[in-house]
Amino acid sequence: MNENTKKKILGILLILPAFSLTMAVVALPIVQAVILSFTDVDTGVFSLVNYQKLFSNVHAVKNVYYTLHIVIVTVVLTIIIAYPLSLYLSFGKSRFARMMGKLYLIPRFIPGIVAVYAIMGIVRDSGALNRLFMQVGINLKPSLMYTPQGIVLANLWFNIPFAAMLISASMSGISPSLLESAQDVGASSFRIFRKIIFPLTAKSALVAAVFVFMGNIGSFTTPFLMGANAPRMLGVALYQEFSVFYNPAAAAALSTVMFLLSAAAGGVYIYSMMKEENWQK
Amino acid sequence: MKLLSRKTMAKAFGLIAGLLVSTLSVYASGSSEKTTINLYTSGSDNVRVTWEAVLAAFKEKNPDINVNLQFLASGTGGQGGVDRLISAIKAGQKTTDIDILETADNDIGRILTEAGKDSLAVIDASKVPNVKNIMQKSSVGGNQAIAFRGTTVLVAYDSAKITTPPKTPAELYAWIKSNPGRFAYNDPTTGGSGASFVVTAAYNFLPPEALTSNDPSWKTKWDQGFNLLKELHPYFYKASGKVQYPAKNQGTLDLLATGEVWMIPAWADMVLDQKSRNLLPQTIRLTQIEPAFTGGIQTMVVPALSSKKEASYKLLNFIASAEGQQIFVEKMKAIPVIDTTMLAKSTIDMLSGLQVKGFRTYTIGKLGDDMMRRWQEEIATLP
Repeated sequence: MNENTKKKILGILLILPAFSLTMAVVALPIVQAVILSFTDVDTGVFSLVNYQKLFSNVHAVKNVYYTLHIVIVTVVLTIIIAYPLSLYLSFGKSRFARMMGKLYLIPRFIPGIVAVYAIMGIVRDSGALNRLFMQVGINLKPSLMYTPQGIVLANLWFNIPFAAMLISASMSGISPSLLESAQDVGASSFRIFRKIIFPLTAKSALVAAVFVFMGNIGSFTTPFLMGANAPRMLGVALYQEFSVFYNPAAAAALSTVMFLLSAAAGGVYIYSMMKEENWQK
Repeated sequence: MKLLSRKTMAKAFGLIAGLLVSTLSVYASGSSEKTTINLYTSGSDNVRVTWEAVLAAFKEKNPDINVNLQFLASGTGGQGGVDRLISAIKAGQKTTDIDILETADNDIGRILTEAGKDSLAVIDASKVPNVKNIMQKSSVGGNQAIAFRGTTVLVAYDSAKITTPPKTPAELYAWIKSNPGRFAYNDPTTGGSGASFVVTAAYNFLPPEALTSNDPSWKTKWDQGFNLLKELHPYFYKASGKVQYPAKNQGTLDLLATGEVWMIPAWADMVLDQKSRNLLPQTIRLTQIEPAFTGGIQTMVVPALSSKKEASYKLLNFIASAEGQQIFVEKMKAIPVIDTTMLAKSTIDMLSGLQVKGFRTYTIGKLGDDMMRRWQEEIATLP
């Protein structure tokens, strides 16, 4: 055996433990869940009965629409806010911009459940905001608890820093000389944005959108604590099927549907990556 | 790239191996004099804290017995002692390292039906003398289980706003209707106090034997109860312009603490514990209605396969003693299973004069899951 082959074998050996662990605890259960979702638990044979039940149940279908509604609103608002924020953080020269550049990641370091309870403590009808306004005699009730708006608000707190991190990383990759030379030939700021910055960062904004979508489609903590009793987001509905109603087959069908929704978003991501290959040729 | 010479490596290995051997031998010699038993339990963190206190007090009196606490936090999705015991017996194992196990009634039911009627040791006064103190008995486990603590769902109310709390479910429902928005029960799929409200709403209309039956025919008789829940729905706590059932047992306790609602169904131990830590106002009181909300006793069982039963019996004897019971009352505000006159006055005071005559338990098996699903589809979806 020559040195090269040895190195290759060593490499494979080093990866093997992690790879087999991933296969055993991630890939295998996924395959099992998909198989279970296509099985009639009473007879044990292949069947679409779990999916028929899922899609013929008006409440379950409402849960799917409700989830998509919240996730899409979350994605759109996240990008609308995170993109200008990234622009400001990357190209802003003020001291405030630099300070923000350091502070904006703080939400990433706060555990989800702590953040959700903190948000609830502020926006609930008897929360901090309400008590603050009571001091000046206004009985303000934010009416955000148990509403989709409340869930979106909490989602924004979690996702804006994440999206801004991805987008500003691609913005800092733009060579300053590119921008300066454009300025030198008299391009306006807006024109620089439209012709240089936007085309170079649109892709990472799309990537951020895809990740935010996938991260929120199965979210649990926020909708569990802040959501209404019905309809429910899919993450909570899945928990109920599995841990409250003890119906693993229905839970498997539901998680396959969630997986397909995420896969669709993943498809958008892969498609956009492929397109880049062509464009670069 | 060589960071370490072969000699150094060999030395390091020798050192590690030596350390391993010496620690192992110390461990082995230590355990040869002591009996070590494994206690399996799970639950919220207060369960762990309480058990640690109980075991520390037990160890002081029984230095020759070492109890390993195998605690599994609830919600971690792991395999608990019950599942492990059942699979060990099903797999035909001749011995088990599960020496003593904390169970609820439905756990015992599962063990006895899935692993066989003889899978649990019979515990009587000849082995555990203090068993005579215990007033509660598991309906499922009989003399194969020992009740050691109880808790139940009661009505918690703010005595600053309510002077005469309801005494019966009918009075409670009437109060709810005449005080719109001031009562809340939590989403029953997320916590037992809300589930108790839903279950008793349906089963108060049914004969008592229904509460211990998993016969699916009872399902057809739930309509009256669900109609009651629908009728009461508009009078419950409202937020953001809609009736809401908050998530988790704590969800309604939070509303009671802020004064948004005045009355809720709540677990006795949670209310007493949070009152003692000033997380709930001191004006919050507990009362029992008749027929009561459901509650339950926790039991201990000893697997027949365990080879160290004598040590487990000693632990059980301690748990059933006044000293053992005192720890459960003080640490987790559990309702004691022995006559309260055996306990110190300062301990009884922690129960705020709470007199629980008996526990109304329910073991309806899979029907409980169906009831939760029906609640989710019929009540949660009400406008």
